[in-house]
Amino acid sequence: MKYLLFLNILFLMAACKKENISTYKGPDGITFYVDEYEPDSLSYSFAYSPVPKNRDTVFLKMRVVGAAADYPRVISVTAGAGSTARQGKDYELPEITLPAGALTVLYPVVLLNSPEMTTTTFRLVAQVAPGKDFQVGATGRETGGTTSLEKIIIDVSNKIIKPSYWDEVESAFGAFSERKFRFMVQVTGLSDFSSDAIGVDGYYNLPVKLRNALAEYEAVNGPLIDESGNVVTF
Amino acid sequence: MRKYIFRAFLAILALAWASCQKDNQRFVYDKLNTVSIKTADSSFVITQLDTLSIQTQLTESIPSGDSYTYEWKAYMVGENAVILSDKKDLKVAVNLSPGSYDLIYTVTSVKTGISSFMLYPLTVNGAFYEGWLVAANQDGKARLSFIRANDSVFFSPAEDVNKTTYPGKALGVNAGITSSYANLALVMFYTDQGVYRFNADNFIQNGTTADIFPEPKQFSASCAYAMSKIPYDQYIVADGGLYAGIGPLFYPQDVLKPYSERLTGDYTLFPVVINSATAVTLFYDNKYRRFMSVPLGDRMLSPVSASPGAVFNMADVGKKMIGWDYGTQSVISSDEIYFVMQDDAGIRYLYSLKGATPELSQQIGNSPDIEKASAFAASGVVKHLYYAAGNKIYLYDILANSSKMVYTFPDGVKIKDLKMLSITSKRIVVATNTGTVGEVYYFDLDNLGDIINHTYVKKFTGFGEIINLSYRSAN
Repeated sequence: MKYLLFLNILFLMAACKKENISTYKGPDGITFYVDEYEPDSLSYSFAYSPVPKNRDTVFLKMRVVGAAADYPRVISVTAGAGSTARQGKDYELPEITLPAGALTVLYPVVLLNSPEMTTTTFRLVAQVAPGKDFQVGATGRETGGTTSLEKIIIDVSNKIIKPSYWDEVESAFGAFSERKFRFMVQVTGLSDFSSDAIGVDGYYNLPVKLRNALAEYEAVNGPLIDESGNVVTF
Repeated sequence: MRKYIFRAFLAILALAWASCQKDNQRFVYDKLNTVSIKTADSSFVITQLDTLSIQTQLTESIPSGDSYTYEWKAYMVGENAVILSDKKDLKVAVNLSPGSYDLIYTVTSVKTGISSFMLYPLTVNGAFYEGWLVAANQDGKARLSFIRANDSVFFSPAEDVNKTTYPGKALGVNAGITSSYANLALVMFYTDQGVYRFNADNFIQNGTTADIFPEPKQFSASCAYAMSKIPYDQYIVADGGLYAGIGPLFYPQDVLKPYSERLTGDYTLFPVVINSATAVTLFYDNKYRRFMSVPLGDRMLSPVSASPGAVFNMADVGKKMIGWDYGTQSVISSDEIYFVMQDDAGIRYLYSLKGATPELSQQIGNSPDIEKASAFAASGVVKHLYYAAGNKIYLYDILANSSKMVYTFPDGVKIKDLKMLSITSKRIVVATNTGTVGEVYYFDLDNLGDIINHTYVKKFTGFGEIINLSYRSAN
């Protein structure tokens, strides 16, 4: 019995030995990232803007994979494989500086409203470009539900496409048409008419506002006709 | 080791032997002292902030000289219980929110821990739970007063509660109260400088013109405000236009959100919201002299369809509406509403709808001063319509199609408004002005509709020049 006790004490002493914790060492990386329920691609249309725009900026979230540095670092983004958008005509991807001590930054993708966008949707695959300060960081799902991405797809046009939420608001605004949607944007100054965006009061009140605006329009111009030849109503 | 196993075996054996002992089931029962509770009343109704006093009579089943602890606790479903007192008798200023509570009284013996309970229904009314709203002009300001159902008069509750004044000229007041399907209690007060909205329970202001309407708005006449019969929608008729808001039925959190713009169309509505039917709310267009409707939960105001073969054609009445009042009302079935109409020759008619169906159409005959009548109040029990002209009150017997005078105020007194206390139809309430001095009178009615003892039963003074009366019914 006493040998058994002695053996146990020996094992316990061995089990309590201190072990060094491994840490990551390597070049710093950078990635795009999205939150848990945030899509990893996006669409942008100049047609949704209440006022005409020649250019607009979309911001993409980026974060460092590695440690903060006590000096500014340069971030580069390039158009990756699969892009149809044209540098200087449809987009600009500026080189930006990550301030000293920062670990996250919003990267500005400049979208240009080219004439072809009224008929064509261009795709920009925004992709991290390795540079002197950053490599492409490790991608995948992170603790906390965010996901690191090497690239983000942006579809850009000047066309109005029936929004995916339209079915849920069709009883308020009626059948979708591009002309109707442009009129809605122009009258309300809104571009998102989803239930979440307009709320219950918007669901009930916006059609009245649109009907009144349409009545004023028709008094001057006659019926508003959509691209299919139908009279726009609300 | 064997020694330990043997000892453990013995221990288990001893436990097993003990657990199989026969129980003789011999118990000693002693009667313990309990307390019975008596109070003079079995339910209580109190106005918020008033003192609730309840004297208790406690009787011990075995007088033992025990000492006791006490607890008075108010509980409303879905809310945390509130302890009101730890004294034997309750005497406390009730600061509970208006509503229905269970009042639980607990008496616990310190010695035995045995408790006795009594449960009483407790209703806490807001300070302004029911009564007459009075819109008036006094001292160069718009003033909103309240005559509570127990005859207490609050001359400026909204000003006092909100520590403000309401500039400009009063145009009117009305209340929207519903407790069927959903709860909402609001008061709307209109002046020529804007509209103010209050919680009807406490007169706390919860909206002004900018909160209620999507765009700046000026008012020139009194407005109508009411909910649809099923309270899905709220409506305001202002200066002939119709504005719709969200009712409390499905979206109680949105009832204070802005109303719509003026509903589209070419119309000039008489200030009435006709919520006599469930599926649609009706309105009357004095421009084209026809009824219009908005379906429940919709925002389209449209002329009603023609009603050939009916008592009258709702789509083409051809007369101007000048007055209205509820007849019989019901929560779930169709209400009857009377309308006083006038043709281009100045001849007046009485129409009615039951729900959304024409029910009555007749020229008002044998009725003195009917052409000058400016205020109307209908009974919800019998086919009577009271009207005021100058300083006189007349009773129009609808079935007999004739009227008689039932009261005359002194010369110089002008009747400004006349309303029926619709919950009983046994009292008419009259607002008068003598110059800029306003008074409110209660006249009780007998079963024939005559004024009991030919005089008023109560008179309230000090209101300034009254514009209108409106009843704030109980929640």
